[in-house]
Amino acid sequence: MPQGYVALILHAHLPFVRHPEYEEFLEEDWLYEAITETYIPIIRVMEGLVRDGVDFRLTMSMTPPLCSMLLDPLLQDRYVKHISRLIELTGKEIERTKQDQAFHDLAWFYHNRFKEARATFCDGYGRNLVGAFRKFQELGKLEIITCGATHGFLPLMREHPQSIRAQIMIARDHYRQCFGCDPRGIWLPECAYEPGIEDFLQEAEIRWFTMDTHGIMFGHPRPRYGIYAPVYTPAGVAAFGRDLESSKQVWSAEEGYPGDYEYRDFYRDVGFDLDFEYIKPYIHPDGIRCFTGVKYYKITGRTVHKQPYNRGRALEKAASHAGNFMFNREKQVEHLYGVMRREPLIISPYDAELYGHWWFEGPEFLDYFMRKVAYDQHVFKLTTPSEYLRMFPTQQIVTPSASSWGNKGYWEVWLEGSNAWIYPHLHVAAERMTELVRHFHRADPLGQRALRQAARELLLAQSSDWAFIMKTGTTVPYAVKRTKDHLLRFTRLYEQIKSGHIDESWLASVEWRDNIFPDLNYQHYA
Amino acid sequence: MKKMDLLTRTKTELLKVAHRLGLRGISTLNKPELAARIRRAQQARSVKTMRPSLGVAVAAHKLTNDLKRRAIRKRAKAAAARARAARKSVSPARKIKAVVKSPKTAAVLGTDQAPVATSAAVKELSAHKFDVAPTPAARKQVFIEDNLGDLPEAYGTGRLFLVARDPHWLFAYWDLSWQQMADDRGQAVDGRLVLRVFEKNHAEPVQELTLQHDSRNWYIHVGKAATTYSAQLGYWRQGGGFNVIGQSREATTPAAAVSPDTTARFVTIPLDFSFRELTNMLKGHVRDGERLADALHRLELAGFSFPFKVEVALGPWTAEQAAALERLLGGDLWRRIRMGSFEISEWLRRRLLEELGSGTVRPRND
Repeated sequence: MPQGYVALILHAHLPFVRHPEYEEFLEEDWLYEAITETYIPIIRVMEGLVRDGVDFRLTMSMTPPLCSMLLDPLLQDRYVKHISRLIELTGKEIERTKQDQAFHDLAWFYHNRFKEARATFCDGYGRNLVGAFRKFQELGKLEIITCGATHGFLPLMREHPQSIRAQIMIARDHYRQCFGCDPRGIWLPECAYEPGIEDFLQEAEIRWFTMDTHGIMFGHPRPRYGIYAPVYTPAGVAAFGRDLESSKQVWSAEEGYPGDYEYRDFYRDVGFDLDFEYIKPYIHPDGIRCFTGVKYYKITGRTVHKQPYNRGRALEKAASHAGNFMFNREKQVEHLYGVMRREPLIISPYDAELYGHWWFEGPEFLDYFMRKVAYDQHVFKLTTPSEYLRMFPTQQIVTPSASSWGNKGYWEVWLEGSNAWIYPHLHVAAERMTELVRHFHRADPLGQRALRQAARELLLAQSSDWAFIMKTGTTVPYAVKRTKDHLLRFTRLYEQIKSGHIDESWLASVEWRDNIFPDLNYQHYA
Repeated sequence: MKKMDLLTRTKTELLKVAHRLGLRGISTLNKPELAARIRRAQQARSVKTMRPSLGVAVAAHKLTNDLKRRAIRKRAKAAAARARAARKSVSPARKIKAVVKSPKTAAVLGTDQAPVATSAAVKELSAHKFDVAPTPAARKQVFIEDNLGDLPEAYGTGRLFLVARDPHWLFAYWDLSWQQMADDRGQAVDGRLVLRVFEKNHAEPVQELTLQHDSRNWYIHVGKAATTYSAQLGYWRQGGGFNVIGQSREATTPAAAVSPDTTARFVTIPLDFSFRELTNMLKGHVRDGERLADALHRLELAGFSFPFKVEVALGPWTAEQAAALERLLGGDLWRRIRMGSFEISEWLRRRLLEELGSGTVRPRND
């Protein structure tokens, strides 16, 4: 019998960015980069584990905006174009680096890697990566959970509970379409919780959610086992708190793994390094240099004189870090078991996009870790929160404390000088949405279309990413624009629906652009 | 030519326009793609030449003449209505606003070209949009094509919103138009609006804040975790008495320490029974206002018969155990690392820009 359990949770999310009105759009690259560097590598890792008969468990939240983008034919087409261009570029790079063995090998490495990515995307899964993840859920290895419909910051909707409800119910509906079953778990957007949110989860038959450490630790009454066992909220929905020791080990700036000198350097990219005329076809059409994903150097050290990346050595490092991570979890579990006299659960939630995109060797680290756990130790087992609850259905009743995983742990990141202006507008729009649904419960087909679109615009405006970027980002104007555009489109729809004069051609153009949730059920706002 | 205008045309019409523009490789495109190509071609030309070439102008003109006239008539009507409303307005500030607005209106009405952006929108675009845009012209176009205007400064619902931002700070905003605020201030003995903060079960406010004229929100330092507050917006009347304009809901600051309450109640909630099924099992046994886990706990303890195995206690728990776990979780361990992926990638982007600026990473041949 194992003495404890470890659950890795990867939160995969990107805001809904899709601009059919442009041939190329800078912010859409967030998706393409994540597909090549994170989602496909994780899929490949799981393929390998299944092929080799390794028993593993992994949990991933896949948010509705991300699933919607992954399922969108336009973005799928554009991804194929994107990856094909990279294949073309690395083909030229093979030629260009002929005289320099280290770079020549790397050019081949990227060339093959991109070709593999395209093959996985196109031939392996017929462009449907949602289906790829679903396959591993159906094999019982991966637990996929949901999130808010558009990653809305739920506690800041408290004035209008229908909005919280709609974020959850529309996410559940979408999950059913994507994965053919009900979600058992949810990653609350930004891990933002306040007492009362569990009632909506109960209604959606969602059995558990994750929180930051202090949300559990400051719960009432005091949680006996701290963050090493879930608690039941009074509604019966379980809350799992994040273990900071394992987070720190991976991500701390000083002690974290990704800063190892053998790992690939994130900053040096041929998009910036190479001759402008040469690289021009592979950066943005207006000549803005940007990352291409072709990066030849390793971190090397605190120096500007970077050395070429050595893939073999980097993978050795990833394997040794995986061994170290496993060893530390063994010690942690043994110690906790000694104290608690019951099997502790270590919850390690991370952002999925950190693996691969930022920490290039992250997916391989996961691969090695899951293999080692299966074969090299007997102290703990990997599990998922649902599996754990099935094994251990008896837990303490605690009301967790309001908290988020943002800086300082509460709402400050999403409610401060740069972004507080959005809330009066979001709140009025939320109220108006319910007013519309209640008043026009017998809308004709055109009215129904307008109501659905109004809900889409409200949902897209509510995405917590915009407030977040306003606070921290370099793409602030884009976040401001998105917030305003969706609110203004909502307002226009509201006015048209109320006045009974719906501009069908304009509605069609808005439907064409903001096409998330084609089957949206606006009755969730009633 | 606006995007939606293009989309209301048939594909054949669009193909004709595309041919006039000299576009190639268009036969396989669907309608939205075709429309996008036409738009890009038009934008490219207008950027190159600063003015659309004659061919483009003719094509665009032919395609949208009717629609445009209709749109302009509509806008003229709306502008006239706005002007009427502005004239009716009694407040001097409103009048000033109306004057500021009129050049924009003129810009829209005074030309038969495609609608130009209002000055405010152009300023905003130039200030905010261009730095990340694929092309400035394209960015600008999106904003214009809906002609969505700008968000209102307020909706005038009179709502007073209160939320606890963290264990020590409340945040309040009030949705009052400039006019409403001016009227209310006019009634006040000192010409000021006041925000009063109440702690639950206290009759007297714990804070009374005199607001600045133009403020619409306020961060309130209360410094007290796990406490419930409410707020009132109002003013002191001539001759005494407080007039309430808005009353907030309650907001509770989160806890900032572990709870002193160490009682532990355990409950068995089997995963394979849905909440609905469990609720049905308890029908007739749940007390008023009792929530699912609480009711299950009470009934499990009372020996109520359930179709699943029930545990009500989990072995011994000694003071030594509690102290050992506390040591493990002590200090500020759970405050240290809290970074999401966006946070990290934004941090990376910033660092990259800094490095570019400081010359440590130097783009070659730029």
